[in-house]
Amino acid sequence: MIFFTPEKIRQDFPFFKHNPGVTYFDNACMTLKPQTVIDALQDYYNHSACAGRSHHQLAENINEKILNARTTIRKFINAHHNEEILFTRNTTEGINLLAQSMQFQPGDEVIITDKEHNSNLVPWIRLQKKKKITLKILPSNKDNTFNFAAYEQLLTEKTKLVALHHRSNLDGVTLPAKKIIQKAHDNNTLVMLDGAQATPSMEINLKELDADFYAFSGHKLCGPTGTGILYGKKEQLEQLEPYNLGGETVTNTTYDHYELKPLPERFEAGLQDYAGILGLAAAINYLKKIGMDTISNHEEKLNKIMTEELKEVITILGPEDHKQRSNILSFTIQNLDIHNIARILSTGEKIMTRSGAHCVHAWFNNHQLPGSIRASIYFYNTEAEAQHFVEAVRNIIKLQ
Amino acid sequence: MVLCWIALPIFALLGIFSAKYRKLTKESLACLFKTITLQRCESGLDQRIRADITAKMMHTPQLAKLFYNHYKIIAFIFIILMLGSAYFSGIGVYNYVAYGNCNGEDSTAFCIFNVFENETPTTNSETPTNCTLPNASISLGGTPP
Repeated sequence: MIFFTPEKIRQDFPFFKHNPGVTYFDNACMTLKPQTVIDALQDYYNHSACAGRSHHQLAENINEKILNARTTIRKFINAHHNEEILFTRNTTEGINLLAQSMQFQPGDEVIITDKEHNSNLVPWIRLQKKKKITLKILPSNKDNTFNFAAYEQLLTEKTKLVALHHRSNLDGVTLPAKKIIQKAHDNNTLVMLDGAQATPSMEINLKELDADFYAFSGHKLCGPTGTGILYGKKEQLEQLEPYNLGGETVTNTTYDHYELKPLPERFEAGLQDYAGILGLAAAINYLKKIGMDTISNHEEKLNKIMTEELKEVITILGPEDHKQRSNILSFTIQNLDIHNIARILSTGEKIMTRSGAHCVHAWFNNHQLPGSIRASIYFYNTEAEAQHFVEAVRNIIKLQ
Repeated sequence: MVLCWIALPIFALLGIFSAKYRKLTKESLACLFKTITLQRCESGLDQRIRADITAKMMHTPQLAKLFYNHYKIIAFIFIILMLGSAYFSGIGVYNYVAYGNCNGEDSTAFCIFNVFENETPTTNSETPTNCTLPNASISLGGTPP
């Protein structure tokens, strides 16, 4: 871990040089990229060659770097084997890969919560229609925390998969993943976690969590866009039927037959985003230098400032206690339109937040809410920015 | 909705130079069309304009609040002013074309078009219009014959 001062760390991010005065609080959507990641991308293109299928010296060099990147990512989430790390474009693709590749029978049950991102809702709705699976929606507690009693009631012998977010992009609440997984495994049920929001600031230990599948995105942890990972236990991945086939997924073909390659290549069809993968590894190395605990502590500190200063004048989504909402402050203000608030923050104060349903439309429709404003923090945000945000929101409230 | 109407001619003018404003012009037009056909305009453009204008006024909170809460009335006042201005401008242009004076036949009152007309440079037949430089030698380059 390095000595942590966000003001100094910001020097690693060209964004701040090119956008002076901007407060970026849309980190739950995408994080900014440090120079080291940009350099990794550029370095690949400076020395790029056809990797994966060619055997010349340049290709071998890239193959070796990709292998090292896979190892870096495996260590980052503390998985057992490199073969368990599949490169995808993002979390959404990882979940879709699983939904399309798992062998479901009519009547099989899948459990999700009532506040899943569309990426972990729509694929299962489609399976409900196409393969006649039963999709069970687990209601959250009133404060949007995980309802364990309801979860236990929903689990049956027909439950094939529990597919949940690890940390919510709606309100930042982290689920008790280990307990959930233990309960599911006791029921012979597999568990997939959507780790898109958890991986940027949580220490992920999959050996300890024992999740069967874990999907996350690179662009939310300082990595390049278009990069993601689907982790799957080796024995579980071997049970899946790849839905995307072609170059690099097979060892040999005849006109009526193909032989699949071993893991992980059988799931990585076509030429991969090698630049992105190397950039993702660079991002992970960068985060590890800072330290995941340092990141989460800093997020908590800033969220505390914002929550404590504003909780009397805004309506917070999820628990009021900032410690339960990690890096997210999702809120509404009475009598003021959410999109107007976000726009005033952006145009007037250069504070970038997100307004709307945050791809959790089902939850907002169920609660008959138009959406919320979401301010999401990361380690490069400063206390001064948090104070600036508080002042700006207080001024906007005066418009009522 | 009302803000879209006011914005339409401005966006249309700026749209000549910028694709961004052409898109906004289309949005404003769609909004206007929906209003005329008694449908609800849901583009959100008026809200975006409202928020942007409010944001610029935030340094004077009372002014921002006044605009944010009464933007429809303020926009209506501007529409009435715009329509009134367009009406009187139209009459002026008609009079100028018909009588050579924007205030009507036989009027000697001030007319802006006459000012422009009077400023048109006149040519004096005794003064040469070409410019001469006495004793000047101009070299156009190249080697003299």
